[in-house]
Amino acid sequence: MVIKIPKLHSMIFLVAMPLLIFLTSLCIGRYPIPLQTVIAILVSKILPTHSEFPKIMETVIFQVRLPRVVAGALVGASLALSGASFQGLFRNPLVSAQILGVTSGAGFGAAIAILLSGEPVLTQVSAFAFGIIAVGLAYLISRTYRSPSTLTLVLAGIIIGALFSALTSLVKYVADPYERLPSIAFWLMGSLSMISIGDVFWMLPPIILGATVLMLIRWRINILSMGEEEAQALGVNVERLKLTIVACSTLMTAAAVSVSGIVGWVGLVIPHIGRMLVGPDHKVLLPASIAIGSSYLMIVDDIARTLTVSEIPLGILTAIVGAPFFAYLMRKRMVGWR
Amino acid sequence: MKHKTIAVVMAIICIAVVSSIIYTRPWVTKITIYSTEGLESPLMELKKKFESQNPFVEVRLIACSAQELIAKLTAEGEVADVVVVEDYSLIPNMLYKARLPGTTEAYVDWYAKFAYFNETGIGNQAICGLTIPRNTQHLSLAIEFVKFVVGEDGRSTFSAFGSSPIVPVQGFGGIPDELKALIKEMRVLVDQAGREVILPKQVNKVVTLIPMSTVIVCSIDGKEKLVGIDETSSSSEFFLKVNPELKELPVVGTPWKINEEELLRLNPDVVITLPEPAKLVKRMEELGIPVFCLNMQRVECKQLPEIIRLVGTVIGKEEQSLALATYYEEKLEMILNVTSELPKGEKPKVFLAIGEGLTTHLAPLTLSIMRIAGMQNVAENISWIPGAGPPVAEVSMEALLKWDPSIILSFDRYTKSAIESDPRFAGIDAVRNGRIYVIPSGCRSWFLPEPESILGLMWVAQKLHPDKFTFDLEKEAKEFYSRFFGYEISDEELSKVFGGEYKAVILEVH
Amino acid sequence: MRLDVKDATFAYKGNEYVFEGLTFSVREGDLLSILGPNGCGKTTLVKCLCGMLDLKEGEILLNGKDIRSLKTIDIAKNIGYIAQEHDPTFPYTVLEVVLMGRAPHLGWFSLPSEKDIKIAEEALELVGISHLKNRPYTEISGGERQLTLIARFLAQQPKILLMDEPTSHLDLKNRIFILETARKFADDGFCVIMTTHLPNQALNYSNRIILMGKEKAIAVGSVEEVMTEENLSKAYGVDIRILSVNDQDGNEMRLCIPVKCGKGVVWDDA
Repeated sequence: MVIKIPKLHSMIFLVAMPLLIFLTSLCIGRYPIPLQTVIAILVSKILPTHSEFPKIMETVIFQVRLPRVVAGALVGASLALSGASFQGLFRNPLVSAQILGVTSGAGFGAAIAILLSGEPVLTQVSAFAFGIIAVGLAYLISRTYRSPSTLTLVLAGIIIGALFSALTSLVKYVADPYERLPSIAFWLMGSLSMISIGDVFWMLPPIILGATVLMLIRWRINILSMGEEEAQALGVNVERLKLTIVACSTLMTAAAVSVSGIVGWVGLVIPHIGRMLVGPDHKVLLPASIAIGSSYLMIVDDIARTLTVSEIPLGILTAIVGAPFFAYLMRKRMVGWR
Repeated sequence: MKHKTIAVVMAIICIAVVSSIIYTRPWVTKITIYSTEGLESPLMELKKKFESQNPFVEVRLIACSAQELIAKLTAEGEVADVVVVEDYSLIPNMLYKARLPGTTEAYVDWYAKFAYFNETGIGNQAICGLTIPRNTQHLSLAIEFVKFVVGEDGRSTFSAFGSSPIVPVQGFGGIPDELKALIKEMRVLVDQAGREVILPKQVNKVVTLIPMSTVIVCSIDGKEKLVGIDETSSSSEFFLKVNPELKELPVVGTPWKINEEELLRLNPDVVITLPEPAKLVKRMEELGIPVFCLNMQRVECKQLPEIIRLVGTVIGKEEQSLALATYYEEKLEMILNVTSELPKGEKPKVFLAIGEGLTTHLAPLTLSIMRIAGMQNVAENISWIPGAGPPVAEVSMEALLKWDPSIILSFDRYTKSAIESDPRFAGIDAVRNGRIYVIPSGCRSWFLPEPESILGLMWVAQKLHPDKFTFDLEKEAKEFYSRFFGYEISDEELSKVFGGEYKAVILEVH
Repeated sequence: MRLDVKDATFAYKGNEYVFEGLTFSVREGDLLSILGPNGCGKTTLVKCLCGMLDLKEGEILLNGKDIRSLKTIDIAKNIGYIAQEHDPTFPYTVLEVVLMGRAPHLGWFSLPSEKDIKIAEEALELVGISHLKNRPYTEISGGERQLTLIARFLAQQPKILLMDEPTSHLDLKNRIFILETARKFADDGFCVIMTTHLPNQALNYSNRIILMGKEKAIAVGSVEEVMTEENLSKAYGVDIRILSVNDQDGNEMRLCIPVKCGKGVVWDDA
């Protein structure tokens, strides 16, 4: 069963919902700032006003909340978008972008960077680089098979993912238990805390590039999802399209994970919600995934940082919310696939 | 004719006097401002405003390059009433060394950082500084001028020229009292990570993220200054008994994660934490919160007094911290004097057990206590299990039987009863003779790097060598808690402490 | 528009030839059946014809050009392929499926336009399933699915239609409908190539036949040339007779029937 929403409502929904949640998230936080003040501060950056605000409130809004909410939106959108694309590419609604090993690679990259130096910029770059390396390796391995197919790519991805997970455990094994190990463990659990504007700027190019290309080719994913032979018969250059999807998704996921750590479930569950609302046509599914994914993660992060003083790791919260919801969907058979 | 001459002479004299009066205008005070070239324009504006507000004051503004300025003031003996420079560091680096002409007294002994100035074309932000040389003849006017510069007029004028004010203005050194209202007294300390930390001279709001440092702060009479504490402290039973005020304090986090908004809400003067993870320290700096790092992860007994003194300096309880540190060092020396003379035969074999009895704790402080107290730690040279958190190591039952320690120490009663009830341990000397001792635990376990560790050292030294250490430990403990925590511990509570009945929380690393 | 096959030879690995030295041509108006028992290489041949598999020897010329030199998209503009196995994962609507046929005419970064949607809707009309436009593809019957794929072929607008076992899994009525549609396409100027393992289908619904058997292709040519009892028996490894029967109106109908031990065994198919 699929609930289809009329097109105009969809448009409003896709654009308005994330925007609304974005603005609301800026108003939420443990530092008490009245709503009118938040709006006034935001407005003062666009229009010239003469009011002066306590510097600390400006710090909270622009240095603490803004980067965090923007990052949450970008990460949620990237993971959902790549998850949806991968589900179409692999014709399997149970995959997410993690299947090719990008998150395991990024985890290893971060762990080894923390082990060797602990410098935050290096950690981010290393996580990003190794995420891409992991998928590259999986791709190369799959090409060595005599008749490479999507299945061999997935198998190679699983192998590489397992390899990098093992290497990460090794790094944790030799890490200094006082200084390095807690940093590594905390990074792996996933968190958007301590994000600064610089981190966000850094994330933008790969995510925008990957997302733009995927959005441009999104209708072709429909065809690819019918089967590779069928797609070829319809004139689609299957290998090139596969490579493009894998490359773009990996780029986005690696950038997202390098900033937020490992956050599961978003890439898996959000596309299903999207399919439930707008159907499997990737022409509308991908934009819907962006909207829903970004909204979801912004909301989850709001909870993570305001519910208790002690921050709940993002990866745990997304799973806690995602797993029962997913079970509910399956029970109701409201999933968007056969 | 004589009258005429006198009249002419008198007239000339009068004219001369009047002219010189008009010329010198003694009712006008002149002050001299020396500044570097980049600040000439805003200071010209300010000069005009100041003069219009103070009609009997004339401001002479001399702008030149930094080298010229230093040369003129220090070598050529020019007198300045106020010195304003684009790069504040000129003052502590160059002018501090200068001496008043003909004396050995310092030329200046304070400075204030009051604005960021954007150097066009370079993109580096210079921090502007000012000071009043000690040989000024017009101190009160100089002070007025400085008030003008750091006040509203000064701020808006400088802003018009592209600078951003530092609020509040930070002052270092012997700031004149009249300026203390506008300039916040700061000082520079170096923490244990080698970082220069700028703190207010008077620290009133402290956040501690390391559990051990929270205990230290409370033990040097600093608990009223705490505004936020770490996660573990908020759940230590005895600690909260001794310091019930802590229950009301918000928990800010651990050395590995904080709630940023909560921290900003508390607006502390300083946060005490570990140097790692570096990202956390950097982030707090970004948010404008001063961070003071202590290397508490690897600290040994001998290094603890230093840390106590450091904390005292940071929070402004130097006397109290000195008292505690001295007590610690005295007792330490007392024990060392005895145990360093002990031959190996008199040092019993001891095993420190945690968990089910076959795991041992290898933290540097624990090891150092055991070494100083005059024992052989049978497990000292084992390599620890990597990746498991604080250094712990597993030993095999056979190794333990082979070592056959005559004393077993355990961190809690659970381990003790686990060993006593497990028949495999029965053959060990310590078990046969009933010499399994639970380490006492008060605010924290007495074997952790915090002030009570000196009691822990005394306790274990006495257990091992009762003939050599005859002090009354209960009396010492009571005095300790009374003197340093302001708490009169009851006999019942004390026996609970000795029995290890208060939960001993070891810092869990997430 | 024509498809020429010259000396085509294909082997999966080593020297296990699937077919060898195959030569034939088809052009508009032809309805070619590739007939043979299961596993004799019909699907393989079809895949070679649309460029998915490469021949070991020989060549295939599409409108005079070697198919290996053509890009996938150019092949797709000329040849439409409907596969035998179809296992869709996602419940696209019938219209969305048909719209996919427009792929060869759209660039990489383009989305289907109003014009494309119109063409798709017209194709649905032609095939007679417009009422199923918004139904999920996964919820319609096998016959309706087959028709959807045919509509997609029409939206794709190539001239050559390759169908692999189009009537398998279909009931009698739908089978006949598909076959009649195929014949109509051929009459309208398309070139239709179908594979089947049912001799009667080939017998009654083609004008050219390639008969493949347990060992490579046996015969290529017109229906009369190829469909002999001898050829059929050799291909299927079973004794087969061809009977002529007159219906009530006096029209001649021909049937292929396998014979075993002299007694006829009736096939349960058309």
